[in-house]
Amino acid sequence: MEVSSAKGVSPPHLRHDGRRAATFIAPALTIYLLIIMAPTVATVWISFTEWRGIGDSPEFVGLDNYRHLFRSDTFWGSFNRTLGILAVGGLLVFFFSFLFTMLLREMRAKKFLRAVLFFPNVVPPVALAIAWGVLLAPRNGLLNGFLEAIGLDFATRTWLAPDIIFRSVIAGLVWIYTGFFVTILMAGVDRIPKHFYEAADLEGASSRQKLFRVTLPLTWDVLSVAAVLWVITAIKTFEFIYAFGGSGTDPSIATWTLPVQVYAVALGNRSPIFALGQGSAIAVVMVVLVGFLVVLIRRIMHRRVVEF
Amino acid sequence: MESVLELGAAKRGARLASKGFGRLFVWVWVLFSLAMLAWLILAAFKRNNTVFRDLWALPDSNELQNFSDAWDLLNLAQTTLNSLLTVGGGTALTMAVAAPAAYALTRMRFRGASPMVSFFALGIGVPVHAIIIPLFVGLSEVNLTNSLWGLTLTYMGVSMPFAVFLMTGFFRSLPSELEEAAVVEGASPLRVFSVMLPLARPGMVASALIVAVGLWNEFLLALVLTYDEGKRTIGVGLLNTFGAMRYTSNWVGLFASVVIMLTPLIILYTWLSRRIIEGLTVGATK
Repeated sequence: MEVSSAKGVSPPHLRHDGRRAATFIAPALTIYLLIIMAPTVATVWISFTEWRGIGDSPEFVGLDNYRHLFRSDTFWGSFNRTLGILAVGGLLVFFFSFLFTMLLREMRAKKFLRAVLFFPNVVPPVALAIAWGVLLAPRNGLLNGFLEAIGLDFATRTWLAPDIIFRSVIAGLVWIYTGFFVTILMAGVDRIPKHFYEAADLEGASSRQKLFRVTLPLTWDVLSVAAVLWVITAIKTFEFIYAFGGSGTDPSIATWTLPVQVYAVALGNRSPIFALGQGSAIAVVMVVLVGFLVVLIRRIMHRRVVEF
Repeated sequence: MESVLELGAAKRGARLASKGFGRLFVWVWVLFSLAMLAWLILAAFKRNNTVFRDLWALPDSNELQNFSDAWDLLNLAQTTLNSLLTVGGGTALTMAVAAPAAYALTRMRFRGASPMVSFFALGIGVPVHAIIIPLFVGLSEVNLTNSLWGLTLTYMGVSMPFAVFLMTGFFRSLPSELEEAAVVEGASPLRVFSVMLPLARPGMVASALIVAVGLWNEFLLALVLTYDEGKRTIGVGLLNTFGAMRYTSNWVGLFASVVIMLTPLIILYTWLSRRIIEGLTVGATK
């Protein structure tokens, strides 16, 4: 999310509008500070306390919540699953989005295909989770039913069994988010002037050369934004996993990720334990993870943007 | 010479084949999504006792009963109203304050504009989970939990970073001639802003759509911040219907609920998908 401030050429009468600008910005800033920033800071503070919520007074316990977390297998399970979405899901999402972006470029129904690919991103995650559940249901599921119908009985699986349910979750997320990243990457690729490819074709460049010499360097900034967006999306994605993992009930622990665990220990589930300090500590881990990875990506991908 | 040509032809053939295979794969993926949607819609018209027995059968009768069940399960009249109020209100308020902010951040020259845009963008990275606990406590202090007002205010807050970020992209892309002309004629900053606003309308519409769709589909905040039956939004209604399935096993009623929630989205999407998609990409590529 590089923000290039318009440089230089501002006419004198538009300069130094600080005070006027403040009145335009103040309402948005106030809401932002009140609803996002202040609670984030409060969450950090709550993570150093033990607190059962309203009616209880928070007791300062220092780093106890974190110590407890780092010794808990449940936490590391959630943590690793979150990293699994990030890495495995990310690899798949970017592989497919790249492939589709390159393929769609030359396909006639491009706009239609892109719209369908993107569609899951405007559908309520609960509805997606219901659909995914119906697809993968062990008995009478669409996928197993389909495999049997075409004679591939041996390929049927109990897709929701604890040992593979999380793979089913990742597959679902890849299905949902690929369309989103196709859209972003395509916008970057569409900006590349056609004559670059024509020139490459004239010189007899292969598809691979075109990918590495033209497409990648010229979409590098868009790629970097996409990578940042993926980190944020992957770490905070919650609703699909929550609804899918629980089929409408408490999600099975085999599908817990960091946000699901925050919800489970602090707020929700049928028998909430309202461990607000614990929950906040996990939320802080999430924020730190996002921050760390975003800075890392910006560092790695920071390279002179090719102007064209 | 001939063998080189042949080799080239073979290579080209292989390339064409792999491209054809790739295109086929895109179509399979797309048809898979469409088939799933079609199956859900058809299933919403089927009978509960046969829906999973004959997976691929067409509905044998117009089972509109499912939809009236769904209407009750979702408490649709109430939840739709609540969703419209909170999502509509939240979106309108977000736009009303995000637009001037984005305008000032991109079109007025002052020190700190650029870090300020980054500061707003920072909020995109904050997960709802990192704010929800203090938010619940804070809102209950001022009696705004279990209140549609409280939820609307929250929706406004969580949409703000992305809305500001998106709209700075739009405002930055506007030409400055009109603005300068207005300034030269001595228009006040507010007047200049109102001159620029119509130019930014496509961007505003796209941002509003993206914000509204996101809020319409949201259920975590609504679930935590409201708890009375009468305060539920449609997203929470669908989640509860899904949860109640454990006891009722009324699958077709659930499918009908999904179809009810999807219908406005499908209509909106067929009509405006280009705006949504292109609006979304401005922020990423500008």
